[in-house]
Amino acid sequence: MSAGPKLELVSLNTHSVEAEGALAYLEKLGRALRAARMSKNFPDRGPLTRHLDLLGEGLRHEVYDRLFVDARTGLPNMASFTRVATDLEVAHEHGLGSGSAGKRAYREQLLASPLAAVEVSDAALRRFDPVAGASAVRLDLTKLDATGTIIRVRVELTQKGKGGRRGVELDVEDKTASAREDLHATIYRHAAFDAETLFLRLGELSGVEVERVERGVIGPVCVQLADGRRFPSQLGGALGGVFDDFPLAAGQCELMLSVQSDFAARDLAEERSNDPLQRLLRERVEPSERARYEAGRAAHPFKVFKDRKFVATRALLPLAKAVCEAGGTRNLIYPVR
Amino acid sequence: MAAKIDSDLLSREMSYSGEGVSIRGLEESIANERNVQNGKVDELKTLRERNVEIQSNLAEEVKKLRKFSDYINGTAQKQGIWASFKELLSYIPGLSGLALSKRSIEELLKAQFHISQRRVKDAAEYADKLKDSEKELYTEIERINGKIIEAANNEKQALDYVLELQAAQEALEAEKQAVEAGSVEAREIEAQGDKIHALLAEHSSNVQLFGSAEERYASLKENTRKLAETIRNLGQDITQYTTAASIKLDMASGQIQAIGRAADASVVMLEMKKSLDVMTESMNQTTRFVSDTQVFFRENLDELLSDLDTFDETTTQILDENLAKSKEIEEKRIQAAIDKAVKRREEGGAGA
Repeated sequence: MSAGPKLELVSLNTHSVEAEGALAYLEKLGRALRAARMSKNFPDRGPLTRHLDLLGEGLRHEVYDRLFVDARTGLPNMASFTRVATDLEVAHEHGLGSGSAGKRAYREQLLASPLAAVEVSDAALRRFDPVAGASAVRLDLTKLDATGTIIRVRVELTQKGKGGRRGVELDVEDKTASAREDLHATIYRHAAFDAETLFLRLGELSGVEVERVERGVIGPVCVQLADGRRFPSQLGGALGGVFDDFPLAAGQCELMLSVQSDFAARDLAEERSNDPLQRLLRERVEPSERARYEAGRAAHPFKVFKDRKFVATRALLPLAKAVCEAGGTRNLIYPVR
Repeated sequence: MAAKIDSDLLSREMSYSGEGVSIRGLEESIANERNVQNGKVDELKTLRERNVEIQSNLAEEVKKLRKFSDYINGTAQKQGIWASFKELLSYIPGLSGLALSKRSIEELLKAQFHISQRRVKDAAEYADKLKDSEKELYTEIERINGKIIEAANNEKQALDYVLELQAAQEALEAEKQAVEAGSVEAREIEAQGDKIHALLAEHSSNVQLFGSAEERYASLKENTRKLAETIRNLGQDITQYTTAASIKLDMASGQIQAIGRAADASVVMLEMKKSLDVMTESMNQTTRFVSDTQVFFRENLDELLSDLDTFDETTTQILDENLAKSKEIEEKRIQAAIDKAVKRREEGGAGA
């Protein structure tokens, strides 16, 4: 019942987990994602769990002997997600192909049903007012972020006229919209920052009025593998080392996943954070930046709300509760069944 | 007085295994084997073309990565930072001519990582195809071995029969000395002698056919083995290096992400260069060995092909000449078969 050794890094921000431990971890993580009851503000669960299943198939059929995990978030890293995507491309081009029986069985799984990309972007024209020449648009981006988390950003804004270089390309006839590359890049670059940071940045664009920025973030997750090794990730760090010392029996994979919601919107009634791990930006902005921050907030009236849910295996449920109590917040905590 | 020859000897139906004992049958059988081999060589030609394509793609990837690395290194900035960076971005698919600020570097590098990983997997797929070809060729060798053993058994059977016929012929000769020339008995002995001679001619020809078949199958097997070994070596080399390249890419992904994030913030240039070099190195590894493979193919496969053609023409020519002269050398052949059979029996006896 003592804290196990930590998993070593094999490269920058990278853990390598052998097949046996990785299979149990992937299975448990998939169940945690299903248990998290994530709304449409979060990345689509379907493609993610299918990626996890296929990563497991690659290990089960011995096409791969290990899984790479992002040490900061405890989630499979970019190489792992890209692995599934490129394997699928090769499978589409070559079919089951030659090589080992395991490889062919893995490809059968890959080709069994369609696989949506984890990283997607979309835009939708919500309303068009021809008199005012105003278009209400929703921009939607899901990305495997450089921070190692999986983030969905949804921006609702109204554009007057054709919009500038960083605006939205509209086709009123077809009722379609798409973010111009500059706008897309701005959202892409700011996905890891608070919703209000992106709200302020987009608010600076001419001819655009931002109404709402929503972020749904999957991860980080802290994990103890069945053999007792742990990768605490930044969630463990945010808990101030509590996870490191939290007593857990070895024998099965234990994990605690956190998913964060972060809204900045004009129609929010109050501004508060129900996230035990992240205070509001106004409470933690650097003194040197405070004047600029206040000016931005004054120019764009909106409020912020942050929340976080936890999903934990039974042995880690007490830790999740303790975290919420320590943060003085009331959060949803779901057990992994 | 009737000749004392075992009647079974002259009426015996010899049952050889395999395609029968005709020259045509043998030719067809060997032609079939050659077709299988030719098919395999054609397949290798296709693989070679695929190899060229993969090599070209990998070279392109390395070029892009090198440009990134040069940019970060500061060696590509003579025209000014913006001009260099625009040039750099022009190496990324879909970015040619676009302004610098339009795309996230993190997103671009992620796309580049995806492409690089895909190229390495293409090379690995190519290696698997080579392994498949090798396996099929070894199956073919097993089949040819079966033919060789079959031909050897048939030859032995024919040789034993030839020896029996020769013994009978000698016995008839002795008998003939004891009867009056021109008598009925002498005529009967002559008639039996003619039958024996005909059988000797037929089965000594079989001895030659089966011997020839054995040798030709053995040559086919040798060429097939050469192809299989060539392919095995290539497959092993490519597997080894694509595995190494794949591991390097996996190890570099954290750095690639860090670079993207840092580049988007226009900071941490040193880290950027470091990880780009890692990525370039992994692509270089794959490219270098796929390129070596290409050279190997060009130098060896063409030579192998040429050898195969030469072998085919030569053996066909020899067989044609043999057929044309078969009448003239019938006696010699019979004698050679008998000598060979006697020798084998003697060797068998000595070895016993």
